[in-house]
Amino acid sequence: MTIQSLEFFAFFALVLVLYYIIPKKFQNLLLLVASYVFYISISLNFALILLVMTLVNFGWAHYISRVQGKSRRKRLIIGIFFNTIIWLFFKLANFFVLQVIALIKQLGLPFNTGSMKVLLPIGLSFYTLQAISYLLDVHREQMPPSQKLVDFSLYMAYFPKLTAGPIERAQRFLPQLRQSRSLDNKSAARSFTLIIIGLFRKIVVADTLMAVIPRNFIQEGASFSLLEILIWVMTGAFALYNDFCGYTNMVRGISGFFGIELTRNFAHPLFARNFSEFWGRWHISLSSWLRDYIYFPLSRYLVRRNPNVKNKANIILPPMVTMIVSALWHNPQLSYLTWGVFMGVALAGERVKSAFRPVKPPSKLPLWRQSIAMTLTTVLGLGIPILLVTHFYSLGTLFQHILNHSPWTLPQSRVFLLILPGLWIDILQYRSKNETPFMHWAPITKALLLALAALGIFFFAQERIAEPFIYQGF
Amino acid sequence: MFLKKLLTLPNPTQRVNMKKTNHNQALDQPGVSLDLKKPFGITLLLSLLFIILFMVSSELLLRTKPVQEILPLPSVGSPNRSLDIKVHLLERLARDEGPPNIIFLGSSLANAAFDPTTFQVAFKKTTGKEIRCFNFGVNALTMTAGTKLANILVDLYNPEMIIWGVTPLDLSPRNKKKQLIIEQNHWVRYRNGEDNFAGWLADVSYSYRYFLRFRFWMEFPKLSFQRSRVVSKTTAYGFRINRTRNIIDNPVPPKRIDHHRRIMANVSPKPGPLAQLQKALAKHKSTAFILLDMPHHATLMKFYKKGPQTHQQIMGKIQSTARQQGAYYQEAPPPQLLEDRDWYDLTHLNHRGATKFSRWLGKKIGDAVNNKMLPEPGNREDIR
Repeated sequence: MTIQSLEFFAFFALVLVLYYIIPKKFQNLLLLVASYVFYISISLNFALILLVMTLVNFGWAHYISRVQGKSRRKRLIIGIFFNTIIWLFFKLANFFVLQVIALIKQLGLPFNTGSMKVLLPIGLSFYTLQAISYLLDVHREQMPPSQKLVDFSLYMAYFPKLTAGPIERAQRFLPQLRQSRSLDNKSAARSFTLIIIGLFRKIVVADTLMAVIPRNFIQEGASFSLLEILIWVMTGAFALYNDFCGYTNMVRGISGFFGIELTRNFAHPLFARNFSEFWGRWHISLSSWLRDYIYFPLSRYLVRRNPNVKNKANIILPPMVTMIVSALWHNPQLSYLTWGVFMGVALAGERVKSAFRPVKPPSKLPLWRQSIAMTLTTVLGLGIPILLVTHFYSLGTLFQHILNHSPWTLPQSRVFLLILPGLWIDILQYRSKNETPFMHWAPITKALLLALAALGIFFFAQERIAEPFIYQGF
Repeated sequence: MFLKKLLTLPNPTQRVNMKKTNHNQALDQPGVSLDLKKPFGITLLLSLLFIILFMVSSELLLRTKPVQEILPLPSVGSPNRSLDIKVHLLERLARDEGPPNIIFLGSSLANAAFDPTTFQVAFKKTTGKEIRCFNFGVNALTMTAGTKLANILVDLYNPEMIIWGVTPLDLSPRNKKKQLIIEQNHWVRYRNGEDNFAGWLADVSYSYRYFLRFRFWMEFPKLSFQRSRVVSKTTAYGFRINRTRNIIDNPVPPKRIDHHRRIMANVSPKPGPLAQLQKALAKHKSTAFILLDMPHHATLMKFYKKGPQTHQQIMGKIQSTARQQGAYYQEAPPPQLLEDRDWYDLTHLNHRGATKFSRWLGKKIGDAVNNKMLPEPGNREDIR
């Protein structure tokens, strides 16, 4: 059951109807049951892993909260270690299993290797981070451990965000479950708009763009000119952005109908004018997690060691370590590590610059410089990582092809037709500083736009196997 | 002890130094209530009206002849260009002139070989009857996919005859993926009684068919260009003209010959497709089916596992299936009819070869009609 499928929407509608029929005190329980039903529909084993992690973290947070001092710290470390080891096991298992299978085959041992594949539970990376942040918040006494197992289980398993985030914080999520809320006309319209924007971004823009990118470019980086490579890489980046942003919009819209506000994941990253700004706008729930639990603690620790703000380690280490952790969280592979180092260097470069001379904030720069900065940041911040991650092992061949081709051959220009509607939504959102700018339009214009979007979604969704969201793979 | 400690929740009042306590403030009234006030859903209603308006007007517009002539041929969502082209050309022929009396069905071999106009002339000369024919040859068509298309053709146009050009290769598909492209097409599945929404939509909506063509143009620019070129070279009767190349002036490359050798060596009769054929022939008794052994270039015959013997053995099975179901079986033309100059490559005829072959076939079928071995076409009221 993919989130953009009809089955999912039927499931959502059923849960929604039940949600408003049953007494309020059972609403959270219903959401929890629905979340597990949803997860079991993907895999029972995945649901069992989630259940174990939920129970352990729920109990362990209480165990941490009971003591102070060194024991408290020790318990926290054990808790983080437990979550990390489970995550690492599933992330790395397949890599090692493949080596073992190869070895078994090489030695000619009579073992059946068919059943040796270990599947990464969908959403594991996301709810592991939620569990760790919860333990850390309890340890730092920023929140008490949750008293209700149902609430905490829902925090871990809430079905709209289960498969690919946003990575919620217990401090923000749990209080919502204990408040009295209402679904009024405005919030219903906003949630509905978010779902439509999300579906449009995913089905019309992202999936079609992915279909337009030549297969041989993705798979083996066949011969293309420099300009073609640049355009296809950026098309891929734009598709990734629309895929993930579309997903987030949809799940936030769905969650809105249950009166639960999920964290915003994107704030117009295409308009970022430097890398720091970019990471404040791209996958915000992850970057803020990394900022709060890795970047700031590491910076504080380094400053305590050496209070000199111009100290190299103080400037370079926090962004470098943060980006490396971010890359390894995505995938513990060399290609991702290279991307992490690249991003770490870029961010450290910006910090070095600002440490030694005053830097104008990007918004104060002349418009032409802002435009150049936006383009460069998008190309370097999105394009280079995509190139590194998808073509890491064929970069040499790719560059060889570039040298053998006229650099100015253009791909089919119709690809821009698909980019335009996605970009138009971004421009509107950016200029109005509002995620759902259409809500303030005249009813007739709104209706016309909704009709066009619905027809586009309806037609584009036909005769195509629903592509899973890219970030579900992490 | 440890477990007991872990499972016992501490009393909230005993908890250590909590900085934030506001989470507990709202504990009294948790939950979400529905607070929708009238009027609501006006935008939704308006947009529904817009959708209806848009769909109705675009359906009306896209079904008019002038608009269809400006736009490229629509699509039923098949990446197989000849299927899309033939479906719509036949539809236009039926609209403009009436449904055809005879439809030629088969793979790319049939697509290249049947020239409806030449056939009509030869047939008229032999029987004195004026008929209308259409070439529904579809590239990569296998026997199984062919039965599905035959069902559709009979269902939609109820022709008096279907002349189905077959070869042993149709029973032993060499490219599973290509074969499935036709069989799994939503519209083909829908027309064969397998309910699916996309297939239904392609069947009833011209807006959707044009949208599918637009999406194809978007996603496969090169193939879309090729498709438009093929359409411009195809007659209203489904025959592709101007294939003038021949294997004397353009010898077949050795690599291609090896490719044929490899494929032909693996040809064997599969029971599945024959059973499908039997089922299709048994189902449609209002249409006369003629199974025609398509001509092969002599070079290919020796590539079969046991040479011409394999070919004869497989065609024998097709022949007996045809006879069992009362269908007519027509042998291939004598080898001397077609010379090297008539072949586009080792499997397909060129324009010259197609003219010769269609003339020969027109006469053969005409003779069979005159001898009462086949029903006389051109008599049915519904096809005039």
